[in-house]
Amino acid sequence: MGLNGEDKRIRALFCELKHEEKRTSPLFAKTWNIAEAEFHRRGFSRLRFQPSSNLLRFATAILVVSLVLAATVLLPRYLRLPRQPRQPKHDYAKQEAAAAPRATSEEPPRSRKVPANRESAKPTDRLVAIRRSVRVKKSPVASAQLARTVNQIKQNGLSEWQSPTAKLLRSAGDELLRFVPQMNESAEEMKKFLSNDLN
Amino acid sequence: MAPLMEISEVKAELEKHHSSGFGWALSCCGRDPSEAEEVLQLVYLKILDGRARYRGESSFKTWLFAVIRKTAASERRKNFLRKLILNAGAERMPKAPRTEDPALALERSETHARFRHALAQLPARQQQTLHLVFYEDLSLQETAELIGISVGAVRKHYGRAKASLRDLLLESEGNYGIEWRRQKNPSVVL
Repeated sequence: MGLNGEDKRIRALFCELKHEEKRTSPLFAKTWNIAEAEFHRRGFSRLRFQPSSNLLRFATAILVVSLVLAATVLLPRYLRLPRQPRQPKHDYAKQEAAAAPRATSEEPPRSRKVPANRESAKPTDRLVAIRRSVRVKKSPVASAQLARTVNQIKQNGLSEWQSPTAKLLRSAGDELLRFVPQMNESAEEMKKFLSNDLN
Repeated sequence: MAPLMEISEVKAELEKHHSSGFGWALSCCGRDPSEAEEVLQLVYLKILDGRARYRGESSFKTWLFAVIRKTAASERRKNFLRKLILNAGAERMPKAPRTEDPALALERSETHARFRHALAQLPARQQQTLHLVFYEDLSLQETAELIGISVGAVRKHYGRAKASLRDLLLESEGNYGIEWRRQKNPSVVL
């Protein structure tokens, strides 16, 4: 390898370093004797870092075991997390089907005169419509309302159910529209009724 | 494969290469004399208990230097782990009492101290490459074999190390940098 000025300079510096380190280097005999004494003391065994390495192995083993335990205990729990039970659609249909005949059988005598076409509407359709309208909101209040409505229908029958906004549709003249005047009804009674109603 | 050497033969060879082995241990231990000495003791212990055996696959010096390098790396790792995790006083080999002669310390020139400082700032691989090439007079091929990397990589480390060392020395304060530039270009006016 050809040496240029820079290389020569570095070599010179390393030479100085070498000379200095040679002077300060420990004697071979001393180093060898220490190693030999250590060799005899240990009795041909590799005990140099046994305590620390054993401790390290022990700590690693504990760590591994605790990780495995944590994995076996926590993982199944995590996997078994209760999901929001999704009731399939046919459940509602079953409930409605069960509720519908009861509603018709427990139908109380008509105290009010309801138009015939409203009565003939399928109860299942109405329930589904109600549920849909509530489900769209997807809020706790809405679900609570839905639950209340379903309970009410279950208890009193479908014919008794009233929409929560039905009150808003009521007016003072509703009574007039609830019945149809009969042919033989006297004009006096009509007048009486009208005068009372107007007062 | 050459037959295993007798322990007396090994001892004679070790004695022959002791000072250069110590220098190499110093290079592997960041120029810490006490650590280098401990590494050397460990190497001798490894040789005594048969953990390190010379099988004649390379020259004795190359084999010895490889053992020193690996032992120093292993010691560095263990010391780091010990400090980091255990922080406990593990059993250590008895250290030979080492007292530096104050006269020797005084003898260290400023230039030399600057050179040491610059050398310490280089990455370990570059330090080792420079040490083996300039201190031990090994070829790049031998250096590559000893460090355990390719010749191309050694050449790269060698080039970078020289450039870095030059820059570091020039950066350092004092007359050394001026002297260095004057040597490279005698006509320069400083």
